[in-house]
Amino acid sequence: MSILSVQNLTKSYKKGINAVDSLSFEVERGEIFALIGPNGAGKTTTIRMISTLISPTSGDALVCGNSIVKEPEKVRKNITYLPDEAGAYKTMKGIDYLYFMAGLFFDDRENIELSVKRAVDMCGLGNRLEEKIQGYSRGMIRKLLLSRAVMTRPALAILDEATSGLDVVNALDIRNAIKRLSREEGMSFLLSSHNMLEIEYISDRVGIIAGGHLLEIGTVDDIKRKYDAPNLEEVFRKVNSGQPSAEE
Amino acid sequence: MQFFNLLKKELRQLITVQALATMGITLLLFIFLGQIMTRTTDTLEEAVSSNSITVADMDKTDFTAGMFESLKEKEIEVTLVDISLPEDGNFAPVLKEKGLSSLTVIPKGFSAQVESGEKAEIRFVNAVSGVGLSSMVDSAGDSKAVSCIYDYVGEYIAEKEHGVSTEDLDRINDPLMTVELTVANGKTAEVSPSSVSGIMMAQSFAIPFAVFLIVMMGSSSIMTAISTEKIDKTLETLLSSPVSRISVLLAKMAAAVISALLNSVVMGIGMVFYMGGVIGNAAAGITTELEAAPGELGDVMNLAQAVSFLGLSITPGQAALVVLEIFIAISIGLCMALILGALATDAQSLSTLMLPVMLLIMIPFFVSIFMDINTLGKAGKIFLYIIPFTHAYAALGNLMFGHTLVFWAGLAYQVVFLGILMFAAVKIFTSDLLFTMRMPTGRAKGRKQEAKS
Ligand SMILES: Nc1ncnc2c1ncn2[C@@H]1O[C@H](COP(=O)(O)OP(=O)(O)OP(=O)(O)O)[C@@H](O)[C@H]1O
Ligand SMILES: [Mg+2]
Repeated sequence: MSILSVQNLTKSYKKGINAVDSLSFEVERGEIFALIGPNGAGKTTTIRMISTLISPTSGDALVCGNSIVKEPEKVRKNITYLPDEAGAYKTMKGIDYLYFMAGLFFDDRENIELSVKRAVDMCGLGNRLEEKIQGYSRGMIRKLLLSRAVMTRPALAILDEATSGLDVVNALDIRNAIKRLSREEGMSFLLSSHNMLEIEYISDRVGIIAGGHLLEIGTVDDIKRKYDAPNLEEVFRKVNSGQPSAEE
Repeated sequence: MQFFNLLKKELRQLITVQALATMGITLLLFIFLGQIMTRTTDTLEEAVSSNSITVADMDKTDFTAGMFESLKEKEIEVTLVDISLPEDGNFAPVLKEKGLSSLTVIPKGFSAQVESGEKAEIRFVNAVSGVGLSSMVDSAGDSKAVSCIYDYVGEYIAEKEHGVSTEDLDRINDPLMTVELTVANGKTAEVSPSSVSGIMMAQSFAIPFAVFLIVMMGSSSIMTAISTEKIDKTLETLLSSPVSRISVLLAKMAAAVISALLNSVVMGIGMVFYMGGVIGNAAAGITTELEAAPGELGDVMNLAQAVSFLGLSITPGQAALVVLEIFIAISIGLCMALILGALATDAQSLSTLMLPVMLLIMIPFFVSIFMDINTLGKAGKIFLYIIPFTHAYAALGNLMFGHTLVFWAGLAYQVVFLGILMFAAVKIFTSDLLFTMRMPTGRAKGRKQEAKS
C-alpha cells in the first residue's frame, strides 16, 4: 500500500480556473517524491490540500489509507508540513518551540522527550536553542523547522522548498538527513523545489507540474532520457517553453 | 491537555513582557494622576478657604489696625511683616527674603483715601512658579481674607457715609436664601445638580473609559497575534498538526478573554486609585457645605444618600447587567479582531484593517463622554446604536435613568451580533477561507508573485 495516493485532485480558487487540475500520483513507503514546476504551477496548492489546510474542489488523496476530505484528523496524525518561507513563534525559545510542537503530536512524556532529542541532534543549533527565536537567522529558523518536521517520525513529511535559505553546507546536511531518514526509517517525503540540482540528488521520483497539470512523472533518469536532456534543469527549461519532446 | 497546551502558548504570545510593562505603566500613571488630582483638590480647597494672610502695612493707622482686629475676630490669621518698598517695583527679592509666595501690601495713605471717599488702593503680590494646576492655585490665594478686607472697608463706608448698619449691608449684598433641588427619576432631593452630576460623571466616564481601553488593547493585540501567525505561516504548521481547528480557535479566544480580563483588573485597580481621591474630596466638601445650610425639606441628606434616593446609584443586579453588557462588548471586539486579523496578508494590510475597528470603538466613546446618546436626534441615535460598542458605553446611563427598554434591546442586539460574529469566526476557521480570504484591496501578494517569476 502506498503512503500517499493522490486521485484526480483538483482545486479552483476562482470559478472556471483550476489552479490544480486533476492531479494523480502515488508515493510509496520510504520514497522521496518531488514536485517541480515554475512559479504559480500549483505546487503549494497541491501540498496544502494534502496537508488538509484547504479542501479540494474535487478528487481526493489518501494518506496511509485515510481520505484528506473525510478523515482529515487521521491524516494529520501521519503527516508533518513545513510551509515555504515559514517562521516560528518569535517570543519562544527554540527548545520551547520543539517541546510545544512535540506536545501536539504526543501525550506521553517519553515520546515528547525522544522527539525533541532527535530534533536537537539534527538541527545543530546547540546552545542557541536556549535563545528566543526572534534572534535567529533565516537559515537557523529553517533548520529548526526542518528538524521539527521530522522529529515525530511521521509517515509522510511534506516540505515546501525544503532547503530554501540554507547555505551549501547546511543544505547538504539536510539533504543527507532526508535521505538517511527515508532509507533507514522508511519515512516518505513529498517535496517541492526550484533547485533542480537538489532534486536530482535527492529524489527517487519527480512529477513535473505546470499550469496545474501534471506533465511528467517518473524517476529522474527516465525523465532525462525522455527529454533527451543532460540534467533536470534542461528538462525544466524545455517543459517551461512549452515544447516537450515527448514521443510515445 | 492539548487545549491547555495551546492556551498556554496563546497566552504567552499575548501576555508578553512588553504587554505587562504597558499594564504596569498604565497602573502607575493612574495612581500618579490620582495623587495629583487629590493634591490639587486639597490645595484648591485650602486656598479657597485660606485662613491666613500676610500683610505689609505701610500705612500703620488706627483704621488698618481695626481692620486686622476684625479679621482676627473672623478667625483669620494675620501675619504682619515689615518690608521696604522696592524702588524698581520688583517684589521678587522681597518675597524671597521673607520666604513668601503671596503678600498683601497696604500702601501709605490707604486710610486717608478711604476717609476722603476715594477708591483706596491695595496690592496683592503673587508668585507664580511652575505651570501645573496646583502652582496656579496660589494666585487665587488669600481670597477669604481678601473678601473680609473688602467687607470691612465696605461696612465702614456704608455706616459712616450712609448710616447703613452692618446687618442691613449683609442683606443688601446677599438678599436671597437659595435652596437647590434636583429632580431625577420622578423624585426630588435637596442637593445641587452640579454635585450629583459630578459624581455621576465619575461613574459614567470611568466605565466607558475602562471598556474603551480594554477593547482597544485586547483587539489590537489579538489582531496582531493572528495576523502574525498567518504571515509567519505558523498557523499552517499548527493546523496541519493533529489538533482540531476548533480547539485552536477556542484557545485563541480564551487567551484573548483572559488577557482582556487581566487588563481590566489592572485598569480597575488604577481607576479606584484615580477616582478614589477625586470623588472622596468632592463628596466631603459638598456634605459639609450642605450641613452648614440645612434646607426646608427636612433632614439634610449627604450626597451618597441623595444619589441613591434619586435612583441614580445602581443596585447589584444592575451592576451585574452592566458587567454582562461590557463582557459581551469585549467579546465582540475580540471576535471582530480575530476575523479581521485573519484577513491580513502583511503588516501594512494589518494596520489598514485595524483602523475601522479602532474607529468603531472610538466614535461612540467620545460621543458618550460629551453627551447623552439618548438626547441625540433620531439619525444620530440609530447610527450610534448600530455600532455594538455604543451599548456598553450607554448601559449604565440607560439603567440609571430607567431606559430599560433601550438597555434590553441593546443587549439583545449585541448577543445576536456576537452570535453572528462567532458563527463567522468558526466558519472561517473550519474552512478554506482562513487561507484563501484576503482583504478586498489586497492585490499586493499577487503582484509580488508576478514579479518573482
Ligand atoms: N489563496 C489564493 N487565492 C487565489 N488564488 C491563489 C491562491 N493561492 C494561490 N493561488 C493561485 O493558484 C495558482 C497556483 O499557486 P501555487 O501557490 O500553488 O503555485 P506554486 O507552484 O507553489 O508557485 P511558487 O513556485 O511560486 O511557490 C497561482 O496562479 C496562484 O495565483
Ligand atoms: Mg509555492
